Amino acid sequence: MTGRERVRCILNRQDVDRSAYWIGNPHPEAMKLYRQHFGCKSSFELGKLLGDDMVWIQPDLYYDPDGKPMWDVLGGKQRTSLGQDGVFADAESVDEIEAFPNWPKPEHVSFAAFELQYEGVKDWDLSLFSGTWTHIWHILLDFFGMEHCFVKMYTHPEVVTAVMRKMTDFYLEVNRRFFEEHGDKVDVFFFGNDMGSQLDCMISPEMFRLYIFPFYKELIDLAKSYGKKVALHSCGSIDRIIPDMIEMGVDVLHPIQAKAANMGAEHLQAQYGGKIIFLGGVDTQELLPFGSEQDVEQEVLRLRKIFGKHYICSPSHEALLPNVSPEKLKAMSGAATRML
Amino acid sequence: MSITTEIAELLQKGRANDVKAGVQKALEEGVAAKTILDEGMISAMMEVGRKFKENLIFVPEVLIAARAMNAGLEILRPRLVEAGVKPVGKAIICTVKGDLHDIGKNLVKMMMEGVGVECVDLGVDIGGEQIVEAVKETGATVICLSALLTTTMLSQKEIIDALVEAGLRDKVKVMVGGAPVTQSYAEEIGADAYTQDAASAAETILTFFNN
Repeated sequence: MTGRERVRCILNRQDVDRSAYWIGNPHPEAMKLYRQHFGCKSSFELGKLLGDDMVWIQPDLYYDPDGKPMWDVLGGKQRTSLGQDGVFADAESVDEIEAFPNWPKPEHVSFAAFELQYEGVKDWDLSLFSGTWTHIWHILLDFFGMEHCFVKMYTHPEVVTAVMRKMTDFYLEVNRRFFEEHGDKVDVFFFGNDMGSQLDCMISPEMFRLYIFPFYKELIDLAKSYGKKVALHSCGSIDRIIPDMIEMGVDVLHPIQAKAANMGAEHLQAQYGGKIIFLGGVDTQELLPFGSEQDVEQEVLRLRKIFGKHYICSPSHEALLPNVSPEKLKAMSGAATRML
Repeated sequence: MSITTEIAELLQKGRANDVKAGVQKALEEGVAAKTILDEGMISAMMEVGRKFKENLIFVPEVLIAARAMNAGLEILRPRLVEAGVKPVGKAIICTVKGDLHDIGKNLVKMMMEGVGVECVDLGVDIGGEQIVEAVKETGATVICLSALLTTTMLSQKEIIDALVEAGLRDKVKVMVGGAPVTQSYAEEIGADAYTQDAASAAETILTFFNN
């Protein structure tokens, strides 16, 4: 079976020879090590060498004539920390959101990088995950600064919703253009928003349902209207909202942060097996950086046993850091791609 | 219902303006500033911390409660100073070298301030030398070190080593936290405490000050 065939069978819950595999998208510092060790030029080549069944291409590059970023959340200031105040930290009216001069324009998005990257992988017959990353939850937090955003959910709900509307409209249009141009090459719309902490959801499920999920639903519906499956990335403990994802039409959940509360494989499979495909789960918090090669191999085999063949094995965070040795990456790949 | 109980309930709901008015009213009725702080505010923030720890409320609800407490403190602070009420203790808090993730750190700070601790926030990307200097400068007796990444949690150990080298290790308690940090890692690097969430951190720091 080719990677594409294997992943398609898994997504459609058809008979398949084994579970699938994806090495993830190693951090540039880790890639330095892997390039040297495995003698490959890119993370795509590394994945191919180690048995990947899928490839992820982020298709969008933003070119503003004045050089502004796609999301000018800091108003041109330098980022100094992740919790920093954004341009809407003090915004109290929808008019202020409307008047923001730097909302991005879909016509400034180019898919040239997609075309270039796709050229490099198109003959490998892997399942293609793509579409804009569409991290509207993160950008929302950045536009205000997380603390301001959380407070405004109580004090100025209409302002928060206005920002969500603006961002979603932009991404709906960009993805519409992308699917029109390149949709035939893509199996899965893959988008990402971290909604959990180590212990629980970042905000209550009720708040997610009020402020965030209606917008996800629009994006998911768009992808479905082009016949695409949908994969959603969220780090952290998100057990409480997995039923919402299933209801919204998410087909694949990534990356399954194994050490976060209630994100263990047995629990997830018992609760949601057959309703959503899991992509990820090989722990990057303890096992991959600090375990042995044997530990890694055993854990991968354990996960495959629990999740069965309708599973895409992958690290529990896609950006492997340089403390995951090439030997352990090899051990993970070997155990994940072996016929059982 | 007593006025301090009323303030405590408003604070938990995050009603900043009402807390402010409640504090004003309590002062006018002659309630001691320290009583308002302890019974109206700190007890309420401890209850907020308990609910957060038990996953009954989430970060936004903690934030609006803390914001309401700060609104009340605007009115109360001058009266606390007049009455000579001091913070329960002083702590240095930061995200360690190589790491810019400060959301968890900010939450811990907020919870600690909620129970009456004075926090000196050094920000992000902080190494041993800066900590040593800050200990000398501020006289803080507890140091709280946050790290989100498996690569940057090693900086927590480097900071402890720097404290040893500067001869300050016996003078301070070191608390560590962050997603990849565990109790066994905390023990391995010689930290005095690990807590898995912000509310537990605020409870634990009080035990250091009480001793």
